[in-house]
Amino acid sequence: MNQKQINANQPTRRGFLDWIVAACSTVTAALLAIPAVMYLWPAARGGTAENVEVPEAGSMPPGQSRMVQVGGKAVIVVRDASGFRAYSAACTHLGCLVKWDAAHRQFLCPCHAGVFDDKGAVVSGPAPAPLPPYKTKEIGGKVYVSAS
Amino acid sequence: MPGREHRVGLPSRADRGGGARPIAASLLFAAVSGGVAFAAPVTCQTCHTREAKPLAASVHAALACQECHGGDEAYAVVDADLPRFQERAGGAEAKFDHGSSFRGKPRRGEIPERCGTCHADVERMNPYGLRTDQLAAYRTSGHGKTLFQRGDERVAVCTDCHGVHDVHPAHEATSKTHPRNVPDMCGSCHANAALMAEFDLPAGLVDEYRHSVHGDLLLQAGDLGAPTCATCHGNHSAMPPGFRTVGAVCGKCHEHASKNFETSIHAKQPAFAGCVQCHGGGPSSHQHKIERITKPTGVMIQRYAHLMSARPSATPGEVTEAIHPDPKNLLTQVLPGCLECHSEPDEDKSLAGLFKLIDDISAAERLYVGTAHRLDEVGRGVLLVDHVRFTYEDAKTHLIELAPLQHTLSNEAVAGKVAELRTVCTTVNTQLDDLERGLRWRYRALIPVWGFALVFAAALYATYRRLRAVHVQPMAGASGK
Repeated sequence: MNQKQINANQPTRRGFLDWIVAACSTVTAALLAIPAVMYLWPAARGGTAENVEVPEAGSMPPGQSRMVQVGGKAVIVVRDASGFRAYSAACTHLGCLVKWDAAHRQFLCPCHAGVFDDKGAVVSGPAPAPLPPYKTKEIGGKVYVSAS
Repeated sequence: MPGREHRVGLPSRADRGGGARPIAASLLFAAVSGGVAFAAPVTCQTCHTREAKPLAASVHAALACQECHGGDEAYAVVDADLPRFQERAGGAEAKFDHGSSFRGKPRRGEIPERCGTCHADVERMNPYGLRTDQLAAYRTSGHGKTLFQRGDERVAVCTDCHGVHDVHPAHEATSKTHPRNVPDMCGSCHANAALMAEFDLPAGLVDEYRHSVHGDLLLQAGDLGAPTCATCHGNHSAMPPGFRTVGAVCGKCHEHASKNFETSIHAKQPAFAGCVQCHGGGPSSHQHKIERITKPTGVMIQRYAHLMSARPSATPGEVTEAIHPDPKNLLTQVLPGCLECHSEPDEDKSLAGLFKLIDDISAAERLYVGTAHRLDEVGRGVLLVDHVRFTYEDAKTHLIELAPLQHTLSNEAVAGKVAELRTVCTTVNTQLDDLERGLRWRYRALIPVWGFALVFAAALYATYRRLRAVHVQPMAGASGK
């Protein structure tokens, strides 16, 4: 092995710098690329903040409900024969979370006995207004909820 | 609104012939007498302007005067007489011949049935969606019984509450039956000391109501959903509920509190006067100054929101102090009512249960406020706490549920609900701990990130210098020659 070959195999300052620059560039490019790639598959991450996926909606039997969070608000999603419907879960009286009474197809407020029908309209009790509705849509077997 | 087209069963003027007679007679008189000047056929409104104006603006605007008062739709009046009739219209000296069908102004005792000719007629009220049981309900009321059974016409009849010619629907703010006007309307009789003395009734009830929690809500806060006199007593069937049935009346709105009370030991005591035993107040024994014993949870939550808005940097201690009443204060509010029956507080073991109940609720409220404060503090920083707030909503529900639940006086039921609230608050605090731990970890993770950036920058700079030394400086040297 001659001197020139020995020098080629030994780490040099210049080679080390090139390696550092290449590694850092790769890491930086990857950090920039990851959000760009994830942007292409938002559904896989449960939707955007305004468009929230109902977890395991497909396994919900008709007549059952599920609570989801949309924009920081509690939203109750109900499945019936015609599909999914969603309403604000906060009772319009004092803000307690309503529960779905599947047997009587109505929402009940546990605090002051407010009753809302399956369309969110006030049936009885002190609630001054109906439950605000939310939009639901089914895409590719998944159900998403968003503010109206 | 009843209109002419709905005058079912009322014969037309031509059919009745009543209106034709005065006009025909007048014309015959004119022919015989050789000609007398007649005004154009006059209607009720020509003379009765004082009644016509409010009627035209009322819910009965389309109703003909004849439907209540009889008489004819138009009359022939000698020109010269018209001013005299107009001046005396409605007065005792009026001598105008309104015809044979004229019924005139009904006596007070006749008014309910006069109104009932339409308002108890199912067929006639059907298009307007109005109930037709008001007259039947009125007969069962204290007013109706006094009127129909004792013939006492001093009691309230339809026109006292609804107006005479100025009847307006209850949703109009100027209506006598608009919720905000109901206390005044009832008070026009029930706050009249002289009149009430004749019936041996107290005259201070309406004033007690005005200072009650319900009166505050309706008259001060403008909450039209708050109960008026009619909500508890009924309107057409107005009758005071007895103490034993007052729970059912309160339970129309306070459903959970009422049901919970029914399971309590107090509900089984014959001498216990239901809701008003604790919540009734006022100088009279009629308990119209309904009071809260403690501030409701909703008020506490609102106070907290206001405090956070005004002084976001308040310490947890300050928040608790400002928002939550001291349990000792609670006891001083509650205890006087208890001691009315529990006269031996030192020996009465049931009071120990009450003290524990109050302690539990106080602890739950402090826990709720403390957790809310921590959540708000964390949320004001860089952390996103929406999902924690979502969890925390359950704590609010449990806290508000405690208010009606305490009417069971069951330490077990209240402790169970407090435990649920404590579980939610613990979960929230755990989630906040995790978030803050994660934030601290991220702060530490910044060290290698900044190290990476520093190394990258240094390497780029060194590379730049090397490339400059190889490519730029030799060229500069060559051009310098």
